[in-house]
Amino acid sequence: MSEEFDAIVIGSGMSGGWAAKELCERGLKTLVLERGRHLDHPSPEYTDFEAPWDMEFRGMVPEIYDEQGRYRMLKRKGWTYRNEIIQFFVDERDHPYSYPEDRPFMWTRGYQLGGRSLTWARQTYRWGPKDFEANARDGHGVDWPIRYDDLAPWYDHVEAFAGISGASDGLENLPDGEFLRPWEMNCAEGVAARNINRSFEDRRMIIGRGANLTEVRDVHAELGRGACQARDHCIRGCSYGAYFSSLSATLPAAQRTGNLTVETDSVVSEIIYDPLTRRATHVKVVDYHTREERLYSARIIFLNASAIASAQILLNSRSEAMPNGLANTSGQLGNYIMDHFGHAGANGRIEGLEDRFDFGRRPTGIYIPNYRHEREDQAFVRGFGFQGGANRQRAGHTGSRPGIGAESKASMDQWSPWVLGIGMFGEMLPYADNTIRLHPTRTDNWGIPLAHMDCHIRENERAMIRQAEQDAVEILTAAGCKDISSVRTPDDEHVLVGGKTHEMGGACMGHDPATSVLNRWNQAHDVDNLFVTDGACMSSCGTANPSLTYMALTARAVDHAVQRLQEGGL
Amino acid sequence: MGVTRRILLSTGGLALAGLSLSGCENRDAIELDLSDVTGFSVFDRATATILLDVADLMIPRTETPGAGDTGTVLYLDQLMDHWASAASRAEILGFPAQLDSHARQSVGRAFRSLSRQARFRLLEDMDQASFAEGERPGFSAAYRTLKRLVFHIHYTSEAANPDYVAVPGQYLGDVSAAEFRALVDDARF
Repeated sequence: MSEEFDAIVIGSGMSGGWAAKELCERGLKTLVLERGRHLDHPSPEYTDFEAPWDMEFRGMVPEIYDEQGRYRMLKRKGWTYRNEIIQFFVDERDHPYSYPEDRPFMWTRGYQLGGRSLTWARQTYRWGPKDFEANARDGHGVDWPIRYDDLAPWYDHVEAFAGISGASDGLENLPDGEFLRPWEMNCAEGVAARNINRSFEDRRMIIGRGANLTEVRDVHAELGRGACQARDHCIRGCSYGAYFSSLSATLPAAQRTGNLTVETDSVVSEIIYDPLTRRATHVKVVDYHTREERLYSARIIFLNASAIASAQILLNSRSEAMPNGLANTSGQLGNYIMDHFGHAGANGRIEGLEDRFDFGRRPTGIYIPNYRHEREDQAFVRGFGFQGGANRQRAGHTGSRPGIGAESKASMDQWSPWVLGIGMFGEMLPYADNTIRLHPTRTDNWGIPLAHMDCHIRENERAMIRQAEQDAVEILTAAGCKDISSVRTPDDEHVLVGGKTHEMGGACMGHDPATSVLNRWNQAHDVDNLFVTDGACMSSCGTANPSLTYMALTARAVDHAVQRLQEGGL
Repeated sequence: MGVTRRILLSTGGLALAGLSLSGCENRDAIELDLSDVTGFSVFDRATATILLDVADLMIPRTETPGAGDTGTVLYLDQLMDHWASAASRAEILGFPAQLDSHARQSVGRAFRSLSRQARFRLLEDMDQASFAEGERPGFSAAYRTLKRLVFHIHYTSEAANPDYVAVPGQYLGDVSAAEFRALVDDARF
């Protein structure tokens, strides 16, 4: 026996929430399956109202975890290794994955309702025309079967609902949208931006576009969302609902239609395929706690478990008809895994503003979009942008430097100068042999083969890192910075793929069923009623943060799927 | 002659010969009071007394609160119970004895019998040396662990964060010092 729905959405994160909202609003009885625990919004697990002195262990993750070998990758990630948010991240000791010993892969996950939409960095940029043309232009990866114009109206659609702040910058490859009021640059960023924009024709420093409500419109207020209070505690969960997440926005919108059913603690192990009808008929779930198996069926299935997990589910959905995994007649399932990469940047002092300060904690930074598209005077294809910001703080209340006593205390209480820092976001090429596969012998607690990732960057990315360090210094020099220092990962040091938490690829879109997994509607070439609209679908990774593009692709795919369904075509 | 960096750089940081804190074995030496320390669950009275003194020497009360005002060592005691690894716990619990041994080797007297000025000079030299020698294990590492925790606890306390605003409500990127102070005061109260 199985429970029947019009649609099943696997995953409740960034794209899964959107699939649920769009499907429910079109009248489909929709089941969302989430492998993690239930969370309300606002949730008792949010820690956004805790002052530093209220936090358990003052925000320090228990050292005991080190002894227990817990959260190794999260610790390696650094800035998210905080006790007040650790509940939103997965411990790989409990949920292992694998990689070659000499090529570790960072897979940051959040197993709760809303997934990683709770902890994302909220940077929201449209991809531009050149991003969708890049594969065709230089021959890497599979040509995107869509172009910017196909997605533009859907960017409009998702931006209006999510609420994106930003300025209309008029940049060719970073299209503007219908933005909420932008955050203001601080005085140091303002000086730097004017100098940079005056010094370069191709480089523009703009205020970051972000999914925090700088103003509340009706579409937001209807869901109980409030304006951002400039606390910058977003990653702890926001009781105001001021930043976009599945919990604050899409799932409540789906819920109010009366068409939504949510099942948490439901680990999807496979999707069952009927070769006679060429349809996915059921989703098999293993209960997180009891390990009991359940089946659910629906007319259409949206797979939104995240790039790696979606590929893993498809690879594990093996049948006589599709022995290499569902929707994998091309043999490309699990290939072309990508991520953005950093590993170069610089910072420097901005002088002359010692008597100026900023107030509040702005939840975004500055952005210098990719200016290296299609240039021939460089040793690589594609390019990189920079993200960062300027700030000043008390000189340093840290016990990690020399100095004690009254004199040292007094100097630590002094305000430091304004410092502007920028770090690169590079575009990793789609390499077919950067892969996720199923581990041949190891399984998790639910009997599912572990995901095994084998990915590394190549010379194209190394050349970008070298160039980015030079460019960062050049940009900060032009900005008027003093005492510039730069950093770069050496060529012989492994660059951890997954470090930016922008995993993409694994089930790429393309024109040709022989070379890609999904068609131009995110529909599996091989399985008519199966759609994949999370990061797995991406045919290239661009340089801009990808979540807004997942949202737009999801809304577009749902619109198409429901039309086809209503026409009897699915 | 004060204690030099060589104290900690030699043989794990503990050995010292021929150095003294001339003038520090002075008549105004303060015997630390070991009798009035309560509320600790991990630290015994002697350990707590020394750690309270060390924390206060690191972050003394000036025109702003010191570590003694912010309950730093009491909180450290709680961390030992619920947060610290066995290694950190051993480092912190063993620190007073090592410090005492170090003081005896350096100046020929127990740490607690030195004047405040002498204790500060001993600790200050140790501070410089422990950071100069890098991430070597031993006494120096224990000192760095203790210092890192003392500073973190103190500077995440309410008294040490007069500018912390829970809900700013707005972001302003260019304000004067007076405007900043007024905005903070307005938002906090």
